[in-house]
Amino acid sequence: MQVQVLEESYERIKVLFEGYPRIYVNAIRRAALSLVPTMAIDDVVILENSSSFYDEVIAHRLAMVPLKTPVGKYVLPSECDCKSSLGCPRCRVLLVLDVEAGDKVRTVYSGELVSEDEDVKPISPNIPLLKLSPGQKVKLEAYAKLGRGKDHSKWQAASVSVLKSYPIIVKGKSCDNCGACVDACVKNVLSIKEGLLQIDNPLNCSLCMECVRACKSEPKGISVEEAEDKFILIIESVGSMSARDILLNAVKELISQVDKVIEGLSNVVVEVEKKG
Amino acid sequence: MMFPIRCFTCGSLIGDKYEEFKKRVQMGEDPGKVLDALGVKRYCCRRMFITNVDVIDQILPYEESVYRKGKEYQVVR
Repeated sequence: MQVQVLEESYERIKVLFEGYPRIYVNAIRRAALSLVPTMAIDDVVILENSSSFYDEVIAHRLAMVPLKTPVGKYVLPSECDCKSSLGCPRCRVLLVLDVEAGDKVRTVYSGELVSEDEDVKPISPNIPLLKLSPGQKVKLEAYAKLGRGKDHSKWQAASVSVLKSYPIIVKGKSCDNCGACVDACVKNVLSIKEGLLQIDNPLNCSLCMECVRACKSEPKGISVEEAEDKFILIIESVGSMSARDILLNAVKELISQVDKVIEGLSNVVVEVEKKG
Repeated sequence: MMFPIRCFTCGSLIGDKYEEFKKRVQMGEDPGKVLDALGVKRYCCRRMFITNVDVIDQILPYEESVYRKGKEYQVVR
């Protein structure tokens, strides 16, 4: 059982899992998409809107803006003890937008959203939100809350979360180093060096089998197979938190869900024992 | 109406890259190469850029003329 980080940057992480069943790694992949809590604007109070946009369109555009999410600083509204519909300082952040076009057409950017908390603000200040023609005015209060991707995609922390089988590429005895497989491969996995077939970067292989099909030798001079218990998990972040944080939080969320099942089951077991 | 903030399919942020894309394509650069330079890799995000029509820019001139007319009217009165 081994986990190894193959590549890592703020927005992308590539991890190799060795010796774990596919279903467990796949559960992490799914949790990264649907369970990791992130901040997004959920309630918008529109005080004034004389723009060409409907109130709903503005609210939707605001919701799509990815916000920086400090891990662990806020709690989910469903788990907060305030039970208020607009939330309390522990479960929501207020962002204010107050813009007016002067005498020219003007674009409103996400950088003009004023946040209550410096840690929760749009990840980029250059996202165009609205366009106002002269004389138009928009004034609103927006409440950002934590949420999960399964409720709405605005809360989705990862844009890409894929599980790939680890490829095993083997050069067979019947290979005549003709180079047909090298031309067939679009991922640049293979090459011919000094007249011999080389397998350069097997991790790039997408298991498309084009090389096997292109091989003219009989039996085939190259074979590509999926490893039984080796998987590559690739997570790409939208930007609200690092890819590493998404992976760690996905595992945490998964564990807490399993804990809930254990808790529920143990209650049932106690009841059954009481009844005898 | 305006360029979407996130890609419809994968949900990654694209809104902040559109203005640069538009400017560079109008200058005569190849759209594919501009998208490569901006780091837009997947074809779901790329089609968002290529197929967008800024309808808001067609609506705003009317709004603007109504505003100017309103100002004129006030001056006459």
